[in-house]
Amino acid sequence: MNEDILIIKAKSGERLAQQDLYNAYARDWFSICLRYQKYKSDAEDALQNALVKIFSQLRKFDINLGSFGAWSAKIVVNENLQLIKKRRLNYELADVEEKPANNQEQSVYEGLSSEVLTLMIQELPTGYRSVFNLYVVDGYSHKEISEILHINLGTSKSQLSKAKLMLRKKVESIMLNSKVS
Amino acid sequence: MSKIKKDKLEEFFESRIKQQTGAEDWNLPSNDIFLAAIEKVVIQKEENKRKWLILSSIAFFTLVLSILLYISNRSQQVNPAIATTETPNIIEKSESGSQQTIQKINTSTANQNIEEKVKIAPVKFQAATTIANTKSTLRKPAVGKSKILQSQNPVFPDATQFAPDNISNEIKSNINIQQANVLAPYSDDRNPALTKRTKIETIKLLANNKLSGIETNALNLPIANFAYLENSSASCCNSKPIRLFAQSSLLQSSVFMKDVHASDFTLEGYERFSMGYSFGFGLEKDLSNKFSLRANTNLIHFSNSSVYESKFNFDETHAFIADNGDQMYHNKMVLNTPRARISMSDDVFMADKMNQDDLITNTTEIVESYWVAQLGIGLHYALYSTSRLSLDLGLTPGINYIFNDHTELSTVLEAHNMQMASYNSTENSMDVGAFNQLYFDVNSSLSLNYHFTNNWTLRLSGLYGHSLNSIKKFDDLDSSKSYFKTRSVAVGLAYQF
Repeated sequence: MNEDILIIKAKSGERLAQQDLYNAYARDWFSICLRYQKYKSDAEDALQNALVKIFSQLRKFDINLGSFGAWSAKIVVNENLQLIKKRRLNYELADVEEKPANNQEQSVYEGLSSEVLTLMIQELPTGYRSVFNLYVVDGYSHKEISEILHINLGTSKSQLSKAKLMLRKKVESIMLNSKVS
Repeated sequence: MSKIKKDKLEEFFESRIKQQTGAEDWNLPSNDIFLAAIEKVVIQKEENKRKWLILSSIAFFTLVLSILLYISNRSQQVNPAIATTETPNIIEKSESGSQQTIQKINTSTANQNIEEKVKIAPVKFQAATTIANTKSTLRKPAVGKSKILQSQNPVFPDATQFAPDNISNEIKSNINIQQANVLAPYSDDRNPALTKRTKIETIKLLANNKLSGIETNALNLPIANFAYLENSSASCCNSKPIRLFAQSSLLQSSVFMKDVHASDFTLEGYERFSMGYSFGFGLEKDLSNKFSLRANTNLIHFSNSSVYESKFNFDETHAFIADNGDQMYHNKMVLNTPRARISMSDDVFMADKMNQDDLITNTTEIVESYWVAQLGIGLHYALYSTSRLSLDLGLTPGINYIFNDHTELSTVLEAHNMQMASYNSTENSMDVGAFNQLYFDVNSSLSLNYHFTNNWTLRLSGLYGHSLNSIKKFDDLDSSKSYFKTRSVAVGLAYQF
């Protein structure tokens, strides 16, 4: 069924259309939640909150003004950030040793799936994870991130840098393990 | 979002994550999440419908009340009944009064006195005298009471009729002037239907000879005029004025809980009273000598505190080592409070090494605070009443809307009789699915009123309130119900229009 028709039917409260819309976007939405939350159970909570918002505000969505995917993804990101904020997780820095990037790593990355990368991101401290997701995957600028998370511009940059450093470390460890095995 | 230049690692993560590669269902959520969300959306819609229905009912009710008060206020300003029912009285009394006064004004000495006293009358009265001479201040027939005073007051026609011949035209003229002096204050071009209070006060002043310095008898002012005005005064009090009042209070609140049958947790201390405050305003109208109606709106802030305790087993899958090397525990729990249930999820620092299934005791102090908008309409009965003091008993049913809540939690986790972790957290969110934002209550009050002027009243009240429906929404998991109780002392000021 055409997505526009599906949205119109879902707007009118048709349960089947809402279910179809959910089936079509569930993976995208849940992937976002998994990236932002440390635990799967928290990601499920965030998804449920986001779904409540998406379906209760669907009537406000205008098909002519943008894609449903982008509109709903923004809600999912916001709900994840809300949940993090609500659960009082702060954005303090962890001590990570600075290390220059290694150009050889690119080839190592190629073998990693989205699932593995998501697990790596999940292991980041909350602040790093939020900044990394917002900047790298969801395309927000540092200025926007500093406004969304109520942190300094410098903190946002620093957290991104350290998040990347930690991810590189994790990649190295995977490389090492794969060599050993 | 804006276009950002990214390095290779960032580009790789961005593109690879969006590909969503991995195990088949690693990012496939359960359909139960969708079903639960849809159920919540339906509940929210119903809540919104109910909220709008109640709010529109309140708006409609307020509108109807305002219209009624407005109409009532207008009808008391222009009351034709006064003209028709009181006129015979006035004439009757005036006839006898006029004869008395005429007899007293039969000398030129009296006339001189009058003239002198008119001269020293306040400026506005002299101005009124001038206007009176031109006959312009004497109101047209449409002017209710002034008309009565002028056209039906038989004093002057009678005076002329019964006056001895030796009363000169000059004296008669002065009599007219004096009459105009008295009448003038009651005339008002802007508001022909004069306020009763103005008239009463003016008459009282005149009667006391304080305003113009004119002796009533010497003026030929008929007693009937005062008698009439006394009648007006009486009719004033029967016409039920409206009072506007403002009040603020200090209050204590607690929660009364019913049907708490929990086996896995205990909740205590909610019955303790905690401090709060309120402020508001309202309108008040006397229905009779004994009963009055008060509509008021208040903004109330109150809180309650309680202690929640539960036990659970340590789950080592929730334990992890933080990047700084700290032992952490992901503590996820659902906390029952007097208001609702709160889901909490915190990464807490563990002070001690724990083993799988070790028993942990969670003790959380809960302080819930609320802002409530209240609208109430109450009936009050005067137990005792004098001109200065009155005591009334009131019963006010009200509708309340919780528009902001705030919960502070202070949690201590203990194991092996030692503190494992402790942390504080705050919940500011409104989960409308968890508790009733709207609730009804009834307040009983005992008020002491001190009428320190004709318009102003100081009021001291003691109130006790109890909510009528449960604040907490109950379901299969928890069937307990909670009700707010408040007791307060209020100080208010009322102004009578």
